[in-house]
Amino acid sequence: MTAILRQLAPTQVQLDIDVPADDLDKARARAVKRLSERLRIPGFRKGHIPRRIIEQHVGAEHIDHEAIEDVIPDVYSKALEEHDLDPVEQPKIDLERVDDGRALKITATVAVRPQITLAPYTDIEVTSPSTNVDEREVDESLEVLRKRAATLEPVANRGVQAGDVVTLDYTGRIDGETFEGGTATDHTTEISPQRFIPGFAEQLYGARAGERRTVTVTFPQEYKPAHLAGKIAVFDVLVRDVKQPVLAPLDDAFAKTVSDLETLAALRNEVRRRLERGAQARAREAVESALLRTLNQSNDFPLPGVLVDRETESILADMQHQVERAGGTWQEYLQERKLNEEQARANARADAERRVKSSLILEQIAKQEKIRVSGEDVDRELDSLARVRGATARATLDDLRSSGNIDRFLNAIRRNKTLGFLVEKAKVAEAPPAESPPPQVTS
Amino acid sequence: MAELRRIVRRPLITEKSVGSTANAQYAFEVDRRANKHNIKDAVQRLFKVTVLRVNTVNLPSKTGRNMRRPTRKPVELRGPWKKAIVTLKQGDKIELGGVNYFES
Repeated sequence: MTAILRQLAPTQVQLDIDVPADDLDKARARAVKRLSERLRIPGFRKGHIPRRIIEQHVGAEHIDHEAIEDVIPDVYSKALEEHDLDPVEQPKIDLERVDDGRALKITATVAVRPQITLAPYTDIEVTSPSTNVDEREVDESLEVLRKRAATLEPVANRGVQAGDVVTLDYTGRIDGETFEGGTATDHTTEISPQRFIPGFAEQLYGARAGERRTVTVTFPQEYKPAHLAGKIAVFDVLVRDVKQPVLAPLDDAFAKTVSDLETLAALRNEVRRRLERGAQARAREAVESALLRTLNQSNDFPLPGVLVDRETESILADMQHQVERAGGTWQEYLQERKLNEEQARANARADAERRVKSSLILEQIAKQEKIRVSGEDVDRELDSLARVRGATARATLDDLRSSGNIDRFLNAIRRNKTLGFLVEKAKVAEAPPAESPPPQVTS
Repeated sequence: MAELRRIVRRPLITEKSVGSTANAQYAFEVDRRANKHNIKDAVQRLFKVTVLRVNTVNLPSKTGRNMRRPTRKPVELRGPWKKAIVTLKQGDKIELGGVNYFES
């Protein structure tokens, strides 16, 4: 076998591989052997069928075909090894028979990983956001807990006010006609101006339980569905009952109801720990992306077009999927952002280029630093993934295998390890604690 | 021609028969009533070869049972038949339908 390498583009090569008649004959002999094991022909035991008989049964072309299928991956991988190539996709293969079909000429075109000479990747200076958690953040989190654990108590001595939870029956009419979504009975909701059409909540203020009111509102221009936008609607509302959330006092008893901790101090500690963990995770993420940004800027090499194309498509598909899950259409989404299809694609492409570049850099670093995924790494990740999915590690592994995601899973582990290596080698400076944000209104 | 084909029904192509073509021996399924002389004559005329010797074997019929049928009575799978092993003059060959069935 001889393989000649031709560089078509920085990341695109063509391999001209010659398979001599001799090699092809050997492959044919192997094909006959395999077929002889596989075929069932009356009068012959498996594996004992003469070539002649096989040829009569399946045809000489079939044997030829089997031989070629067998020979291609073999010579292709040998050619890759010979020229030290690292392909990033399945090759496109053309065959040509030479020498009366006895020998074979294979032309394979494939996108390959570019030669990367890495810029320095250790001792990169990055600033990490502060991981400091101050008392007020703890207070705020506790406040959220308090609100969530609030009990509702009926209000008798006053009318509706903001923050109350009410149960309503209402019938809405536009020009005397009821409309879709404009009628409900026993609808429990919290009264806050943001939740309703402007004016609706305000016109209920002061209403007592059992009171009937008529509320007139105008749907805002940008309201969806569009056929209601700008319409004036009259709602006939019956306030069935009014309740207000009552916050429990912050004490040990409260700690016991919202958690399995005994004291308020323990709860505070727990909350603080959780906040710190979150801050650390965010800081780590920020450091990682800063490192990647730096590396993306300091390295320059041609990107394989196929990878960028594939990544672009996957980004676009993800975005469309997300938009549709949020209940919008792709067209609306584009209109909102004043983008056309091409611009959206161009944006996605820029993102894709960054991602592809980052992952090529990371893979190269992993290669140079011999960062490998060990059995323990896999077990650990598998365990945590299994916990998320609520399955056993064993089942999760089988699932990854059968769904063909196992490579992606292993790559992700390696990528994380490499990132970890980079963070470890980087010069990380922690930013001073952020300026206290303006105090938030807590009720 | 047609009568000859009734005597020599079909060539037997099995590991054993293909293997013995090296000794210029070819096996056939033949009519049970045919004798060695009939067979020799038929093979010579059908394949334009010289036959030196004919060996014959009478083989018993084979029965099997269908265990899923309630009676499970023996079912005849193959009736009794006769096999002929024909030795040709050195160098003669038999080809069928343009292909040599025997050579490997």
